[in-house]
Amino acid sequence: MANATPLHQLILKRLHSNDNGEECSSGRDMKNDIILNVSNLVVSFNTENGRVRAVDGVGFKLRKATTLGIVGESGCGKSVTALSIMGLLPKPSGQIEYGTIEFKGQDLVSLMGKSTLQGKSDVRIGAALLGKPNIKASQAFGLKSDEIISQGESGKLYDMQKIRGRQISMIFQEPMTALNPVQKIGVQMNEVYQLHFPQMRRRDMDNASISMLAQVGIATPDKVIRQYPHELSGGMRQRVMIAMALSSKPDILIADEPTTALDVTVQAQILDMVNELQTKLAMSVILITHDLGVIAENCDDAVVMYGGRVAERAGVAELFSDPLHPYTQGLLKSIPGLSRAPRSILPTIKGQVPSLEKMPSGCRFSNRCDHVMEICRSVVPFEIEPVKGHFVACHKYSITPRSDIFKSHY
Amino acid sequence: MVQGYIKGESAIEDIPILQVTRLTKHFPVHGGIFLRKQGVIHAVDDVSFDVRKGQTLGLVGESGCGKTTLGRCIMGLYPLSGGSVKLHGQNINDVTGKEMKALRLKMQMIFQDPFESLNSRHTVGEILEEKYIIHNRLSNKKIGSVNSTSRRQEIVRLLERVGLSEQAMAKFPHEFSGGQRQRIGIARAISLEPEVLICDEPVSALDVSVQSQILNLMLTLQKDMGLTSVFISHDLAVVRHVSDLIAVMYLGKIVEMAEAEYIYSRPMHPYTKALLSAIPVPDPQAKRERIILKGEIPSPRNPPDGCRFHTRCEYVMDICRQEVPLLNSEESLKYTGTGDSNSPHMVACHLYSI
Repeated sequence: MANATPLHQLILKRLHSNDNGEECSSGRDMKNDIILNVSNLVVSFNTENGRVRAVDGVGFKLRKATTLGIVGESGCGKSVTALSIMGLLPKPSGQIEYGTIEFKGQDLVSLMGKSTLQGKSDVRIGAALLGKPNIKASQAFGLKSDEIISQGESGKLYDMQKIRGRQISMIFQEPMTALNPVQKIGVQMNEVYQLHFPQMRRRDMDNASISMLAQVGIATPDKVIRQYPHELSGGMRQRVMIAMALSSKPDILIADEPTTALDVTVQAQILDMVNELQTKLAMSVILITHDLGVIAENCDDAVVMYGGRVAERAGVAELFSDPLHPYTQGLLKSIPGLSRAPRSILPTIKGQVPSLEKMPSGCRFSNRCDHVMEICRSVVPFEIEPVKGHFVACHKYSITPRSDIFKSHY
Repeated sequence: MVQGYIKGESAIEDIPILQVTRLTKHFPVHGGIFLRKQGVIHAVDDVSFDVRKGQTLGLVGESGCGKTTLGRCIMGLYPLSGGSVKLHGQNINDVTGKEMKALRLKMQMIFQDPFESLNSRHTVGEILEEKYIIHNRLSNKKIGSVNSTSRRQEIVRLLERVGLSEQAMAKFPHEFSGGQRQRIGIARAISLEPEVLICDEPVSALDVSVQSQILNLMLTLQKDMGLTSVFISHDLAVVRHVSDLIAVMYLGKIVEMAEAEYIYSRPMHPYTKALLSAIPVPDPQAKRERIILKGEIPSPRNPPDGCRFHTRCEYVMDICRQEVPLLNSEESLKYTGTGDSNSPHMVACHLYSI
């Protein structure tokens, strides 16, 4: 701070005033082996019809070196949850209203700053600093690129930057839109090192990128770093994305529908490779998907989301052998599986997912549930634990002990 | 003539409605300053099959294998590079425009993206009415005399049939969810009571809970109307659920074709085996041997010589690099013992021919 310009100080001051004065604990003690603990997360968005809660009280725990699957249909809030963890919610419309995201003992929500930045210039500075540090935008404010990195040493913003892309990485569904089409793969990959390891030499960066690409199963990495994204196939692009995300050896990898756009044989290749790297690097993975098959085969724990809330969460074996929530049961029954009689009428979940503005009060699944009761329409069900390690948010289980009538047959 | 054909007789069950013979479709690639032809994309190469009345043929394969092109060729949307498509014995590439219009009455298509296949500036009523207006000019006996009130009643009946209410008529496509839009697409396809339905990935864009609703609707309609259909999808579980016969495609060729249950219980082609082993099964207890294919699908612009799968096949032999394997039923029948003379288990692989 000694050589900071007046503008520099002003920016820091303003940004600090938005932090609600909460101090983050710097303690790195790991309780048990939970690496990420999301609790009671509420995220809302500004829409034409007012504020809607896309995520409403979501909580789950990610254990070290395991894979957690988040499954749900479109609009259930699974991607928004992931973006919240990364601090990448679109600003200023998206906001974390409540809740904590505890990563290695520190709360990421307070690192990100709870309220939206006030005033136009602040938003611009905020965007430059909160997001991936945009060197050009910051230079417009008279900051030199090295100052942006160094200023963080005294501010909390640096902490979030240090975590994002370094300790928590993310890969997206469509690699073509996530990669920059006018930059060569090598240049894009080196960005990670430039941000997090600015002291590294250019040649070392190139070598690190090449070895990373080789690790994700690209046969000719030294050729690929000189190519543009459009020259690669979908599977190759996704491999590049994964290489980029893993190049800083993160503790957590968030994969948002990483294989949805790919063919099944390529999907098998990619998921196989991710599993292998996970064991090798001992990292934790959050795998977001709508495919229950992908969850069953690749995850240790699973979270089923519906309408922005967690319907059920449990270990994968437990969840699939004994699903408790009517939504999970309905989903599992409605998949045309290889074990089902061909051309038979599939069991369905009636109706469709209501839009966020039209969610029913009480349990959000109440208008589609076959087991709906009076209480479901008015009271939000709390998460309870009928079986150890198996959580479900359904009134059926809070009133009476589980009856076998409700248990579905598989 | 097509109109002279009497439908609904039980005796024709064995007569194939749709006959595809040695169908080939190549797309030229132009480039350079003068846009000269620089090569061809071998989208579909030498594909033959028959579909009988009431049957559903499932076409599976990965992106770029030519399944969508094949579907469009069957609809007559592309001129063919070779081979023929026959509907009731009439070659659809060999007819006048007027005859084609009559043929289109009998063949309809359901598209993947219910967003793009519905005109966003027309109400649902207008979208569904358009077909009646266009084909009215044909003075077809069945619907020749409908006026707008009876047309309206027909549309209401149609909407009810696909599970939508009368109010839907006045609404625009954007007011519906993906599943409802696909219902509109289905209503449009069945409105003129076609005999053949080409479904190009009809449920791929839908959520799991909605997907099963749409599949149920399609199965019910098919049973009620006695539809013959070609169901194109990359989702093997969905295809198995709706199909009688399944054809597996790889790089523009059919590599294996058999009754649905045999494809899954006794796959023969190495590609089919790999494809089946790659489907994620929603059962954590089911531990299976997974075949991970090496490499990527080659470009259809320069397909490999011989067997097109030989670059990725673990059983590759010398002959595979030189000779194109034929879809040979007699040899494979010996190996599998599945299928019969009507629908033999066919596989194009040299492993079964020596």
